[in-house]
Amino acid sequence: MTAVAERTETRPAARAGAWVVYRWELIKLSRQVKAQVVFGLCLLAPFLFVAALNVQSNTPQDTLFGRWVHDSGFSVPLVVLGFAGQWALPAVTSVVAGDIFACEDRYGTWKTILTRSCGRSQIFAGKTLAALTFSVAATVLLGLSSLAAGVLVVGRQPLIGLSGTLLSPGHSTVLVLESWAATLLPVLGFTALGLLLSVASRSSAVGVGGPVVVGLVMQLASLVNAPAAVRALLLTTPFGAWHGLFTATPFYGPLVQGAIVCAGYFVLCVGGAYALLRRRDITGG
Amino acid sequence: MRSGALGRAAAVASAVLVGVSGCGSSGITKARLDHAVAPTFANLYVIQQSLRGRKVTAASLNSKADCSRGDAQTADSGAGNDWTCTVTWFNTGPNIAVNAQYQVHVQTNGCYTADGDGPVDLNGQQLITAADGATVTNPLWEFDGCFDTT
Repeated sequence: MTAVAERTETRPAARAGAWVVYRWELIKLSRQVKAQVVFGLCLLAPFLFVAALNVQSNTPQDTLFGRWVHDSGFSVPLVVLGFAGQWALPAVTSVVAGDIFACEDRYGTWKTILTRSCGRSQIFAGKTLAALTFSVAATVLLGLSSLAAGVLVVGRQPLIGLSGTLLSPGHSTVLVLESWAATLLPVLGFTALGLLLSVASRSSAVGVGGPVVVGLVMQLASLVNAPAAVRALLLTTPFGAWHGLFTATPFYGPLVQGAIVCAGYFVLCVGGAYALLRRRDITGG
Repeated sequence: MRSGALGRAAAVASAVLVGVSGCGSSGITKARLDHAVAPTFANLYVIQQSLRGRKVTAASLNSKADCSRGDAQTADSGAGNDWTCTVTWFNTGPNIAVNAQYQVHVQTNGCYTADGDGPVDLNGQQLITAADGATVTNPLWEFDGCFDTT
């Protein structure tokens, strides 16, 4: 296709172009060592964690459900979730999102891919979808793997919830899956932040490291007792929104608030990244 | 250049966050903590007693919690590790009230850790002997809970 053909393209063709970019990005990701390492870690880390716990009598008591890691397998995915929300998930998601646009700057390949049959919007849509897919896949893998590690190694004992009530194995499984599903919202928010930094800075270091630093600064702001209004606006707060599911009378306020905040970050970051890429003058490289 | 600008933006953002952290309400109040600790204690007491071979129900305990923060001058609100709670419940009959003490660390997200501070037989040991002779975790030694701050 030529540039003329591109200008006269119809909507289904544009969608098909984005789909082609998306599929190519996924194929590229599946061949990249960093993506394979992240998937490997998400799969193995929970089992190593449980194995390390099993050789000692201490428990990670400073994390919610940490004191029950020897008593119920369902506490394991929740302890992992507590740890992961602090820095691991922002880091895991930005490994790909923070690099997916900046790598074209690093290799100087913007002109090459833009003179092919795909427009900027299609490349943006395809790359964004690929980064989101990777983040969701890594999070789902880590969640399922930690649930499997807990249930297979520790067992299916009832779990003591956050109101002191015993939760049956079936109920615990459902709540664990819901908690990890709720975590996808801030994960997508951090992915969007990585995409924005990747486009804005044109540097993989900023794109990958930026979301981790932002996450840590936000954690710090929560720890120094920032007022409720400020804490509610932080992208790290929704990582704890699942706590309300484990009380005798569940509360969903933090989940609703978190969903709104994450949607806000997502729209601003993805919209900002798109606007920046649309307006960028790509003549060099 | 660009990463310098990003660094400055991050510095400004964190300065603003630290600056406003001194004011505003935190959503953590005495009433909310009282209403979270009392039923959680009751539920865990039922589990502990069943481990020890005694059957009670949480409702029959009619548990109440009275939490306060720091000394008399400190306002009873906000996150901190200087909360103390006295839990009162009715054990053997409607007229005999029993007390237990807890030191409570409340986090900014509305989750708390209660650390047993007496009586020793109830919440002073991490491990207790169950009715069947097994050594098990004492659910009342330390416990976690969360309440809604929104």
